[in-house]
Amino acid sequence: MRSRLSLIGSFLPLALLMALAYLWPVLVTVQASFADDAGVFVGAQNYEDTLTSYYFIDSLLFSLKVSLVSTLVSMILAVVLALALRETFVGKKLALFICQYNLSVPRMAAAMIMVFLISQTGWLSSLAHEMGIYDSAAQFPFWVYDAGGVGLITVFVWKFTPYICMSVLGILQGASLEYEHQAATLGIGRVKRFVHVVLPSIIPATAVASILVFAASFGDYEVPAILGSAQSRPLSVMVYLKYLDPHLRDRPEAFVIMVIMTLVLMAIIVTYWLCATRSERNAS
Amino acid sequence: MRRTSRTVIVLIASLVLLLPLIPLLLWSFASRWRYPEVLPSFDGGYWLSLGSDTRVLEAFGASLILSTLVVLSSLTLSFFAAKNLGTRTFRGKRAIEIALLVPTFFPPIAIVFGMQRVFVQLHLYSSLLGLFIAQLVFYVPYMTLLLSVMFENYDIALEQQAATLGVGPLKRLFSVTLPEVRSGVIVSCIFCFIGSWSVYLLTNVIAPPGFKTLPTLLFPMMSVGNNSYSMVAVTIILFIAPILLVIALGSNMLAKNRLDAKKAGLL
Repeated sequence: MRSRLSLIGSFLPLALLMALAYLWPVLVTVQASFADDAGVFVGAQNYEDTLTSYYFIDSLLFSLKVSLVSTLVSMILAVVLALALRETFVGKKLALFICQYNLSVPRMAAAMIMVFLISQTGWLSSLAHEMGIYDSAAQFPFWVYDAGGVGLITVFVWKFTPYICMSVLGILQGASLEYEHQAATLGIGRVKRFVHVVLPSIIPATAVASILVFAASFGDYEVPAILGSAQSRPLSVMVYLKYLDPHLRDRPEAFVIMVIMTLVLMAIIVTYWLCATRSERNAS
Repeated sequence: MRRTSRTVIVLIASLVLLLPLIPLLLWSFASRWRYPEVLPSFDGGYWLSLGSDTRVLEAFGASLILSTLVVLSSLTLSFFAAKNLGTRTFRGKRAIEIALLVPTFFPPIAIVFGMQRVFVQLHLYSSLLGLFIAQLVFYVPYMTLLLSVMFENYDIALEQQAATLGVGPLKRLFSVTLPEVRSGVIVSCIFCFIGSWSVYLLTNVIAPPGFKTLPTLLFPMMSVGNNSYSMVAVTIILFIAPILLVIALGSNMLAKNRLDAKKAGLL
């Protein structure tokens, strides 16, 4: 009995905090998405307006595109890098430090230093001019503030590749290596070993890290606010602009977008969870 | 993987990861730098104004105090919950773990305005206390998860032995439990600190006007244009430096604890 009380007691501050400052705001957000700007319940009207709006669909697709491309590119680069880093070699400690240092660079700072580096008047552009590749800044590719989202994707990939890489590396240096050596002893070839031993062992960790990266890039406000373009805005920036618009009539729509963003991420988690349990069942 | 291809991959990756630091450092020492100059003319840049223009250092101090308070409070509020989560089995444990992931996983932009409305009602909006609580909402669950993963390897028998020998609960906590889990606690604090140190949106929406942390000072500076780039660069360096320092100091412990935290998919 005493231990049960201490168990409940230990979770009490946490539960109180979450209920008051997280769950309540979530309920307020959902409620506001069903009301007009005066707080009167309007049913699904806001959802209908939002889902049929051209701007919203555009923004949703843009968000999905940027986060999906960022995640896939980071994932592939991370696995390649992790494979290169896993065995011992001279300078490995330094290489590992370089691959980890940018965990300390907040996304906002990463976006800003990318402007210094790859904007049309940035350092790379100057170097290209010096080498005689381009005559003027305007010839340098338009990566930052571009409508296609190249700048955003660059920042996310730069920031997230090391993160996924470290997750994968943890597995590659653990059990996976032993199984691989066993397979090698049994005379199984390089390619076969990779497909049947290495790949299955790193898939779960890669998937979890990639889902976190997708969520982080899908919901990020700071990076697109710093180097996004006015023509294509991700949902996060849309929420911010609509909520702070002096005409309060856009606010219900802002709340609708918040709910939809949450639902998209929930759908991804559920899909992953279903896939994971199915593959577990198949394995057993 | 063959040696040459490994060397090439590692070299390219290192180069790409380090490259953005070069213009950052150059900008911090030069107040003017125009295209197509490959190098600016160095005049000390904003470093020289750091003493006279106190905005950056004030924001640095505010960030440091806020994040330290958030980390220490999160540690206190989550310690026993994390210990129970890591060492005991009980009904609803999995549900609690999932609930704890929610604030970390879902984007702040989807909750921050709902939070603003609630905080207005609670008279916490636009106050430092409100900002502190708003950050706790994100970092207490995060800290609980990190610590609980660490506690999975903790041997509770040690404490029970001490209890059998008649050691009181407070003494048990400080002389048995804490020394045993020290490195895991430090690593969890490092990750919480990094998170709290980088928070922009929450501070921007909930904090009283005029209260600036490094991120809220830095964010609008970028849109001023390249007259402010030297100040931006210096601020970014001051923004990154403490985290790098903390990571470097804790790197041994990080390496040791990383694998465990990986299991939870957190780091």
